Amino acid sequence: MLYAAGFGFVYRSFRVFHIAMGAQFVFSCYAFYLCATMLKLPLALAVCGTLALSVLFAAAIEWAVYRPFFQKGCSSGVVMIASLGVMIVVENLIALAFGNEVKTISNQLEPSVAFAGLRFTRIQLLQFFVGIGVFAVVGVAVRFGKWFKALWAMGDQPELLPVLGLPLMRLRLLVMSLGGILVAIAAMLVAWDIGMDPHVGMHYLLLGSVAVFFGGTDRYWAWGAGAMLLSVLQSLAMWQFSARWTDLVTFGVLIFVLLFRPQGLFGVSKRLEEAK
Amino acid sequence: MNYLLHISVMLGIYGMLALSANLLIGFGGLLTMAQAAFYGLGAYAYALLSLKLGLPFFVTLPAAIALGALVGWLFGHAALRFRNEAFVLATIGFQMIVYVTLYNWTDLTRGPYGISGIPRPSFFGIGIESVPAYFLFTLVLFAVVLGFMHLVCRSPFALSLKALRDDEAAAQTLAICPKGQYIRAMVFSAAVAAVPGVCFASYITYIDPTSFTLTESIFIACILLVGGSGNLKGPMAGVAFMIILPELLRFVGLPDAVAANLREIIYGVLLIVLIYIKPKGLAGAYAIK
Repeated sequence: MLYAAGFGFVYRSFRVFHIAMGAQFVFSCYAFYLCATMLKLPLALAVCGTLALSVLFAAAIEWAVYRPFFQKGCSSGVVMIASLGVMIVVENLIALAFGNEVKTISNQLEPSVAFAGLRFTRIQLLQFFVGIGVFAVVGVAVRFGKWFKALWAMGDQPELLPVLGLPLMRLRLLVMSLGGILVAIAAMLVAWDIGMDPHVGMHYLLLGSVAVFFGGTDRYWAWGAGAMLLSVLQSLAMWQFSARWTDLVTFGVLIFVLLFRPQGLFGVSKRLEEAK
Repeated sequence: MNYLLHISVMLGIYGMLALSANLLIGFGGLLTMAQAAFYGLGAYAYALLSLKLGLPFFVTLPAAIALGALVGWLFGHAALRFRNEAFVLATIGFQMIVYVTLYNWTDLTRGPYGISGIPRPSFFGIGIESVPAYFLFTLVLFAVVLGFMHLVCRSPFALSLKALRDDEAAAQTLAICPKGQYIRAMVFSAAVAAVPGVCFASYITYIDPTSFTLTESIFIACILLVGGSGNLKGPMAGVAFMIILPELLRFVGLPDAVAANLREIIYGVLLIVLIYIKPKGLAGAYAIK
């Protein structure tokens, strides 16, 4: 949900398929690994350090890559390719720095609780409640915050924002920072649970983007609903068949939705002129 | 000598792949990330038909091409309803579905264990076994594909694709049907991509799904983005650059693990810089939108 929200914000505001979010995810995982395991900082400090580093990294992508392309008036396809370049560079820089092997943060057995015949580990519960909680808080901000309305407007007609006296470049930075925070929280939760390697970014990017397109790109709550439904479908596939087929379900669902409901399950149909 | 011939064979294989992707990316303006899926289907079709049914090369090659064309036609009907990011996402979805199927359908494909002992092609009882012979064989296949693409690029079909790429609505007013032309492009592209698949499987004599991943599709797209697309020079420049560069890096004396990551970093930086200062690539005729 958090990853989908992060991806959705950038996609909805910039209208760019933000492939570099995969790099942000990997960067955040390793930033958490650096703070928590290598520097041995207390957990709260490691979390704050990771969030700060992730925001700086997101801002760096905006300053160094996206903004020059935006100012040059490049199309979304061109920016998407540049974003792919960022992903490739960052993934491999991290592999050079930390190695290609899997790194883990916690090597201990996680305590677990049983509920209604199901067993959950502590980190799984944390993932669920933090995910829902942060998504809901951001959702309330989206609903009532003035700046979030401006972000939504940016996705439709960015050139109108300066006309209305809104700081376009700062808003772009806000989008990237917000995306960075959301993806960093998701990355920390995943890294703590199953560890990381430098090449996990693309997998989570695909899951997050499929969730956004599955739910519908124009509604915040639809991203969360899409992510939830996708997770349930994946779990059902795992239960009924095998964990091997979960990716098939994910991308089968994507093709199905694109074919039969291109606006997403909870998306709004648009007139042709609006969709352009 | 065999090393240089091996590099030449790989240049030929990636040259055919780049030419196949060029039809969609360069002429059609549709950024596809599914080329490795068709490449893999060609490779698996050849391996399975040769090993399980014992069919000769002159049957398995057309069969692999036909399978690529059929799957391309079916997939084209679904994916070509979309443009831009949605099309990219649909091709990524298709690529992942093919990969997961190849990886997990172990009864047919042996999954991660791969298929070994794939026979080399033979004609009238004469097998193409040595690397020099295989180099000549790849050269012939590449020349045929290049000749075919040359004809396609000079045809009214390529002109109509360019028209659709530049302005789809305007092209429609000239009675050019986007769906029909794009599906034709997808079918040609998929069929041609199956040829290097056959070539790869019969050359290496072993295949597994890791040769046909999304990363491979991204690499094929990068060849066109770096070299350029929309003509025949761009893909050739891209293949020469992207295949020869890592070989040159070997002579710098870097450890293998570092060299692989460094090569990827160079690709990534080049991609960003080139798309910014030279959006048509090194020798292309079309700047991606």
